[in-house]
Amino acid sequence: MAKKILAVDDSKTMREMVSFTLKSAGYEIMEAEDGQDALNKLNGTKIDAVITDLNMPNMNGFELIRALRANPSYKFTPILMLTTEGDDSKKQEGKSAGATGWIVKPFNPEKLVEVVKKVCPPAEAAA
Amino acid sequence: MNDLDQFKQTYITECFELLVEMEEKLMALDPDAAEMEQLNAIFRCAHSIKGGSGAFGFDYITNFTHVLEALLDAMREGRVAPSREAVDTLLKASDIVTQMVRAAQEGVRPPDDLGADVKARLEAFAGGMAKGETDAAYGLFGEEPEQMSDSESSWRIDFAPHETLFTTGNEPLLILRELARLGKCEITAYTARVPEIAYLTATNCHIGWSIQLLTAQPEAAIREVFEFVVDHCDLKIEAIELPAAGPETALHTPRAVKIASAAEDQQGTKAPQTTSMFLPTWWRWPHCFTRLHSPNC
Repeated sequence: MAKKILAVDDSKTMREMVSFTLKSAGYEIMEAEDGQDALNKLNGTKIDAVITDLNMPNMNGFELIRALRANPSYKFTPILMLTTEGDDSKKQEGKSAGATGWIVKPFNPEKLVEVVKKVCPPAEAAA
Repeated sequence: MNDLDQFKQTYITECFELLVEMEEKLMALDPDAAEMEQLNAIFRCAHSIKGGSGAFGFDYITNFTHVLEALLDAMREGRVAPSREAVDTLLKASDIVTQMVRAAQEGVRPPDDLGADVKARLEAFAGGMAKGETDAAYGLFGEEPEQMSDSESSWRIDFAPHETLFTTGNEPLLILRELARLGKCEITAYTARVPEIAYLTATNCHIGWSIQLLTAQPEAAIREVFEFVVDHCDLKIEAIELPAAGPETALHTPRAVKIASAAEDQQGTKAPQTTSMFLPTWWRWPHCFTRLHSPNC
């Protein structure tokens, strides 16, 4: 069964790009528009990894990461943050919130797949 | 050109929507009583426009919106007051971005000096672009030259995850597997930190690893494997001279269990193959334990 990834970004372009790229790499994708939408859609369902933007309305990426880590179902789930931020303070804030890693935007498709595989290999390779 | 080009139209449509939203919000902004949520919303518009621009090679949009974003960031952080003049400049800037997006839509590159005066004004308001150096982040996923050493070298890597590693969503076994892809490696697990069963916390990481790696890759490639965990472990990477007798003698110490060897195949680390003579067979269990308690493995 394909690994399921939740892509969270308020930008439709970014959601579509992440979805397309990861679907092509064999993942199943769920999309959410912001942190709150992500939590509503997840609602306890099993997910293999989360990729989230940081700057979003309603609930930003850091708040989402903290909320996920506080939930026993997602305590160990790999969470990658998508960011255009070059400064380390954002990375540090993400890390202390419990992020697994980060991807700097703009990404190229190969890099995105490479980083996702790093923390969440596709089902057949994980055996 | 890449697969993402098909999303160019989505991006351009979204940019126009964001620009309309940004203009509306800027016009509604009262410089004397700007609310944080308004500034955040305007910032997000510029941020999203910039975020997508690089993926499609619209570097002129990236460069311009970076300055625009920096000023908005300074305003929401309270470093720059949103004066009437600054807001007017932001409105002019959104007009320039609109022209740039239109050019991108038509497939023509706008003149290099388009909006240069507005950009200079934005920079002046933002206080000399203190954050300009963050542009470097855009190079991260560019065409980096392949750094390959001519010959193979040996490395000794000591990787001791902090107990809380699993709560960052990182999986040490995936890291070991990635290391194994770099070359030939021999991995030894250190179980000395595993407490008595009564004191064991099942969701903590109690095991460390020592890896001897023979690879043609540079040190940077090894460090990259640990990129996400470097703050969550004790890590030592050092070049070593292989002893004449080969790797078998180099790593064995009491209380160590060798869990994998010769993992150059694509499957990465293998199941336990040999056990140190110093320990009974059941000492293999920490490896299984790691798997059991790493839900992502």
